[in-house]
Amino acid sequence: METVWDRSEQQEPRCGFGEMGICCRMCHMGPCRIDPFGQGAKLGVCGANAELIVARNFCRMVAGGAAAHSDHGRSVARTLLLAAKNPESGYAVKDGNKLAKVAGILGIDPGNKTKEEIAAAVAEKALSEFGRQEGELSFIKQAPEARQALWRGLNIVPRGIDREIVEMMHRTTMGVDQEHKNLMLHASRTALADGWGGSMIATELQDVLFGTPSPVRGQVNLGVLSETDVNVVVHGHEPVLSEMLVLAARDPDMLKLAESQGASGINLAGICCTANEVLLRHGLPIAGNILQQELAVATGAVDAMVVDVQCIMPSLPSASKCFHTHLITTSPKGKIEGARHYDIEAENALHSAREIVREAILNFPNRGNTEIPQEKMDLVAGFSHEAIHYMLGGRFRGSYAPLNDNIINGRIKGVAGVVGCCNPKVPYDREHVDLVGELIANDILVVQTGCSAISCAKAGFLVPDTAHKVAGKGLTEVCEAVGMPPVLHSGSCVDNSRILVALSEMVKAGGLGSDISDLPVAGAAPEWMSEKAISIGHYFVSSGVFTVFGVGLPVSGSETFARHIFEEFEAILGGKWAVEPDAGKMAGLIIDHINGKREKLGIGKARERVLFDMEMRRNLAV
Amino acid sequence: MTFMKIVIIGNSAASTAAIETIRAEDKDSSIVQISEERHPLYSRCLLSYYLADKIDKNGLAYRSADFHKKMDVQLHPGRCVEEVDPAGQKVTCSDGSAHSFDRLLIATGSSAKIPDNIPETLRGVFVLRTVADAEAIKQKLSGAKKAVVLGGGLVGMRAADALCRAGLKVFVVIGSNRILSRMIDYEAARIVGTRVRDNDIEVMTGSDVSEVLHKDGNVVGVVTDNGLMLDCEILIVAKSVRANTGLIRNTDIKTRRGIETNASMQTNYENIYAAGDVAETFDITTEEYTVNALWTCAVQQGRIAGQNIARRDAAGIPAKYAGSVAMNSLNFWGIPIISFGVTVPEDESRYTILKDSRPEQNVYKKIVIADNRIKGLILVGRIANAGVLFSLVQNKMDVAPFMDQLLGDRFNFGHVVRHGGKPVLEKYYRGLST
Amino acid sequence: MKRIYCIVEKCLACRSCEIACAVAHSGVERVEDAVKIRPLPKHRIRVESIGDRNTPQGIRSIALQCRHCEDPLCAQACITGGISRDPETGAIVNNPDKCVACWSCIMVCPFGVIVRYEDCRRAVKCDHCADRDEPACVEACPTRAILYCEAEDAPIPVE
Repeated sequence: METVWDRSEQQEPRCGFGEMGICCRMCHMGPCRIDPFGQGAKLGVCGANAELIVARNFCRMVAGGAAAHSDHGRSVARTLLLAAKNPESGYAVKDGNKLAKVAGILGIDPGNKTKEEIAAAVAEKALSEFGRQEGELSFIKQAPEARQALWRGLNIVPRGIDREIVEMMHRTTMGVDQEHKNLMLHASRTALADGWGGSMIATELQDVLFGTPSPVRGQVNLGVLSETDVNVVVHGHEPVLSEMLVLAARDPDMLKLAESQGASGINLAGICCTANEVLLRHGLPIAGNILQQELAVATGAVDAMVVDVQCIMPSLPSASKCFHTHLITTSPKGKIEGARHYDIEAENALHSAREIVREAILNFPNRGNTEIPQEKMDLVAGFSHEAIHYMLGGRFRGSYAPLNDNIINGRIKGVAGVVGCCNPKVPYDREHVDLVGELIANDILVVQTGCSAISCAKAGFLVPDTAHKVAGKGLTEVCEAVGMPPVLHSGSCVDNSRILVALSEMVKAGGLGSDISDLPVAGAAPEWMSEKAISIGHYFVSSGVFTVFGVGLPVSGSETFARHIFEEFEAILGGKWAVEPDAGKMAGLIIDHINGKREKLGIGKARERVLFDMEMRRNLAV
Repeated sequence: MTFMKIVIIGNSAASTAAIETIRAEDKDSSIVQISEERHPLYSRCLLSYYLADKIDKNGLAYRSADFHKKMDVQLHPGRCVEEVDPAGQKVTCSDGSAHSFDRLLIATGSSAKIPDNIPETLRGVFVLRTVADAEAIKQKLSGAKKAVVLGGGLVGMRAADALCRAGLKVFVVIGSNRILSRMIDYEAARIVGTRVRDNDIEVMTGSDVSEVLHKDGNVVGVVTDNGLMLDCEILIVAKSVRANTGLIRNTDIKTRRGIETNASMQTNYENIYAAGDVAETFDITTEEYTVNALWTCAVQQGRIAGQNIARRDAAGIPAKYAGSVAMNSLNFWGIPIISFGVTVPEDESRYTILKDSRPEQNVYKKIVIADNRIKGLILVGRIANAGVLFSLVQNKMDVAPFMDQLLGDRFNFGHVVRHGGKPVLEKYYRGLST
Repeated sequence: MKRIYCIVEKCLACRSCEIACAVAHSGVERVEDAVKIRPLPKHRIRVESIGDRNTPQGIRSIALQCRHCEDPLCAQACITGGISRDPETGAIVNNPDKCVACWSCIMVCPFGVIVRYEDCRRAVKCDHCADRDEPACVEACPTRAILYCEAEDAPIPVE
């Protein structure tokens, strides 16, 4: 069976023009590419130079990523509307507190409305954010005042989510916006429409529908697959699917059916961001992150692989064919040749979910030889910003002030969000683990989402006791005092919006400046690969966060453009991009940045940097 | 195997190429090499670079120091051949020594012509042909402030460049209406001339030195034919060269401007060969016999002579020289200049002339075509793929199919493949450059 | 003697070989670093078109590089003696210490594959990546259109 690594190998050497972002396919006068060594073409057919080509490609990645997160958000909002209007749908409002909070943000007067009426109003208001033509996105109000003012000054407050994405595509088509700096401002507007729009709607409304995560125990890695249970692996992004599968898998009739087929139970495990959603809300096991989707199938123990949207490899049908695994698609947006399709959005979602689980159970007797790796790791996850708030201060005096206090007194140096994908171009999981290890060793609290969180979970970083062996003294003290691990798993990739809210809360708690760009914080995506990562990176940068990407960015073909996002951007938006493939050096950049911010805040006391070494890696073994 | 006594007169491009080709086939025959030059084998073209301190004395070496030893050549440096006896197959040197030969190669090169009105015995009058000349000029540089170069050809302009870099104020006195007149036309010369003047070199065209002023045996200035008086401590004469044919003056070896040769590089004696600046060859672009006193021509002629000298089997097919082409490459203050063949035809009506003049970019291109064959070209500023055009000249290729692309900066070997098809591609794959 | 051959039917003109060549001669590993070096490194291989887009054969391309000719004109024209055949590998090499940037080699190379490196005042050309196992262009070619092999294994078209 061929895996992502085999195919990655076959793609070597990667085309340098693409790697550097100087290949343009916007129109068919081309394709054009710029000779980075100056011996060949310096301009595309239309006259576009390297910076324009790089900028347009970059902006389209932002648009692609923002579209993905936002369309996910739209689907959650529609589900909430369904839940409010149709009790037969299988969906219902689970978190009334969150509903009230979101209603407040969206300016909906609860009056004497029922929960369902409020939910319907929230869903409709959220949906209107997508097609809004003028004004400002509602969730922008969550950001610090200074940040909002900065955006307004630059005229980049997103108006409507769809509008900004469409405009980004328009501006980057042949012969429109030819100024890379102007393009990048709109890229900020588009990315903000993702982070403070589409992604935030997805996160907040998912919480309303399925509950706001709070700390929960779980397990991770392929070893969570069961020899004796029916294994249903759910992969993709939208909990709209996975939540229904959770219900179906717990259905006594289904359990009985499973037993009748010789199975001892039903094991629902996740891959990729869907895994994070079901872990955070139900403590369900994670089989792996994006690069393990084929490996899960290769155990021979997956009776059904159920997928929805995003990060699903087109190789899955051929992988499934090598085994008895049924590949099942569930979103009308994401069909795969060779897979069975159940439309989860049509009619009753729970009914569809039951049918899917039934198919998996009936497939159980078809299992051939299985080979399930032993590896699995315990973990604690579920650190939504509300949960962090609570842990820091307790239910009645919840506050980010204790975090700020400990940052000010230097026990914690700062906070880093380490997020993003995995990429077969770099040694698997290693960049995530090495970076996070070194950050916590240097007393930097790490917040994680997405596949990066799964990488670190597998390494044991989400087990508080284990992580404390690596974490610095100050960070350990604080974490032990409040009963929180030094590496906080906050959710899926849309849940990066939780980090935006957490950062805003930190500003509001006081003592660390008046804007996100004043905070001693940084972001990183050490193994990124998706357009979504670029959109996330750019909304963090545009929200004032220094953000480092690993692997490499497709911008090196233009020094001018690279200078713009790596240097000049800081003066415009307070945040800037950096690229550094080496995890150790990336940690260095983040530590230096955080120390620099501490210095500016007048709380800087430089300490010698601790390197994450083999000894520390060995300590991780549980 | 017949053992031969081979005698080679001269020690520069042609003779070195001949030695290498002979030894590639014949390790046994004796090679005796006699040269007036005392200095170990060096490249004459590098003298101006040495003068400008762009290279040191070691950098002049054309081959490694053990070249003659490795090639098993008995080299007699600093010895002048006085007489050649074709019938007796013997050469006699000024010191009385004599060497008999089975095959003789005359590669004595050329010397600078010094006009009669210039007293060469004056201190400060120089030519630039040998290491000794360059050393002498270098010694004179300290203390000198002004120099006059007589002649605006390749050697003259390179010398002017070198002296200018050494900090001297340089005047170049040129008989014709432009610099580098044998290489480029007036338009190209204007582009290059601007750069020359930018570097503070004064050029006086259409003039000559009529009198050299001197004091106590030292040059102190010159008077030009238009009455201008120029102070100078150094006068470099670089007007033209003359083939060194003195050693055969008493023989019946035929000479015109140089020693007459056939395509095998033989003189009218089949065992006596001539190559390099001393030889007159057929020029494929002018279709006339002439002396193309150029390094590359000398190497190629030396190789042909060497191959034929080494051939012992009289029935063997002799190596043939395709003919010479005037060809020059010059990198002048960052402006590269390449020219071949006929660059300024006398009767323009017989030629198609393609031109691309971009003086603001220091770019000038001119291609001279007759009967759809390239006869000559000038490339200033943009010289990439010059050799591709040169191969079209050499192979007399019909350029009609891509006439409109020849001048383009993107013209390259791909165009030749497009029209020449598989045979051209095969030559490329096999690395057949000729 | 081993030479680099480009199978024209397989060449897609992606110019990956050009990039790999420049990087291989830059002294650094990654293209992102190579483009930061000043003066910019030069590639010694160049992809050129050998067919017209608007003909039935359509566009075709070839990666051109030094042939290390049997009778190298560049070596004959070289005024310094710096261009010579490496007795061990048979490759034609240009000694950078000898080169005076006179461009005589460019004047005569019939394939136009010697590159003027004005910033470093020397001529550069394919050296078969002497310090690598396989030339970088060969490794870089995504369609395996570039081979490094003996003439008998090469796709030489014979008319």
